Amino acid sequence: MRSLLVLCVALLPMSQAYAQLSKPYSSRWQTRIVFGTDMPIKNFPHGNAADYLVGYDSHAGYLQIFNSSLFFSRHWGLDAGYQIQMPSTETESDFHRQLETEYGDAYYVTSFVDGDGGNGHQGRGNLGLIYRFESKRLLVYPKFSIGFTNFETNSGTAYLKEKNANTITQVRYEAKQYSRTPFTFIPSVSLGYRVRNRIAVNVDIAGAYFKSNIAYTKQTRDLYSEVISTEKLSMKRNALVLTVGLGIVFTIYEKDGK
Amino acid sequence: MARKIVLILLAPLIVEIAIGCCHCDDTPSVTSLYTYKSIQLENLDNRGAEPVVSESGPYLKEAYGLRVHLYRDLIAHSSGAPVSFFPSAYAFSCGCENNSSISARDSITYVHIITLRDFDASHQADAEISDLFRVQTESYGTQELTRVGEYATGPYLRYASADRFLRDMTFDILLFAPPAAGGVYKFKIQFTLSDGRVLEQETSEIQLM
Repeated sequence: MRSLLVLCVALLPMSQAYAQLSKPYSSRWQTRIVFGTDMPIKNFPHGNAADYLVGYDSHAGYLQIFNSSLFFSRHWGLDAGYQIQMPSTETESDFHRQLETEYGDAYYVTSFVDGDGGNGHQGRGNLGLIYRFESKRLLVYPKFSIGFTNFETNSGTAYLKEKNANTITQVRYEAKQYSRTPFTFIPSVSLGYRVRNRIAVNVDIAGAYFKSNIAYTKQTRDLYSEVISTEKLSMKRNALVLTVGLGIVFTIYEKDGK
Repeated sequence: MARKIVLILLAPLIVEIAIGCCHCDDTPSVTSLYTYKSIQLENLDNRGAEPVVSESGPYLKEAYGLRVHLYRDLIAHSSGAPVSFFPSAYAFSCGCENNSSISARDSITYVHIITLRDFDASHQADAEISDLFRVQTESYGTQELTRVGEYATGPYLRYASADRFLRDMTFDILLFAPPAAGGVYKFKIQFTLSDGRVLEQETSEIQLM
């Protein structure tokens, strides 16, 4: 983040030296690189241990590794992008902490999450319409996109050793699918300032909303008697996040073919 | 001429340096043979997260267990070090896998846990109660409870000392179906070996509450 600001400050004086800017609305292709962070407005509720196995972090930082716009008229264009997100939560320790909360009074708890115990992959892709207002230096691009948010749903196991007894119970949370990819609505606005003819710095502000049905099976097994009980956990989870990012816009092709 | 003679004399050593460190034999380099010798029992209190040895009762009947020490003796040991011009101490690293082989002369064929006092309505004194106990096993985070006979006669004990000889094999057996009422109890464990010997040990009289 700091390096981007330094770059912007460095480019501003250069913009004075290269004051030959193209006319507004002359660009056809733009591409941008943006990084920022998600901030939750409506987060996933966390009601049971399975919620902590869902590898979605609404505070994740992100890097938009691909984002391009093609303007097919003076104001309208198509916009597509994909961002990888960097979840900061620790699935395994959060899962264990929740199990301690639920069972810790009566049991000693040991637990593990399948795989490496991390959040796994999280990302978001979008495709939509972009509208533009441009002056010589200022760029305002409202967008409306639909896309997807991708995250993993992990499985995990707990062993509950009863206090003052030998009894051991295994509790297994098994995800129905390994990952979820719900449709996501993404209205956004990109505000830019042209510092050179083909380069602008910009701020992206977006909302992202999705709802996802997540299914888990909770199996409880007494290791001595082998008595097994199974419970289906169907979790309808809605998320609404505000994302704020900083980046650079590159104009790669203009209407006159330059 | 003298140089050539020296070179010819040194040739085997040079070849040995080149290939000696890379020679990994698949046949066991160390072979050990052991036999089961005796057993010892300790009372366990498993009220906490892990069972602990406690020789002073009374014991909570729902959290009672026994720690079994199965002592073994090494009766044969051979080290098949290969003949070499160069001592292996000069090798930087051979990278060979440990090919030691540890095997038992005799094996455990049966395990019986017997109550020496009336245990409950269906288990009078001298009745076998092995099925009321289990051994807790763990593999890659997955825990299971294994029947005592299955544990002692199966591969578990063999795997536990696969890479080195253990004179004292120790494992815990826990009581999972305690008697309805507290009182004084006493247990005996018998290990029957393939050569016909029976290793057995009794607990002291213990108070379960």
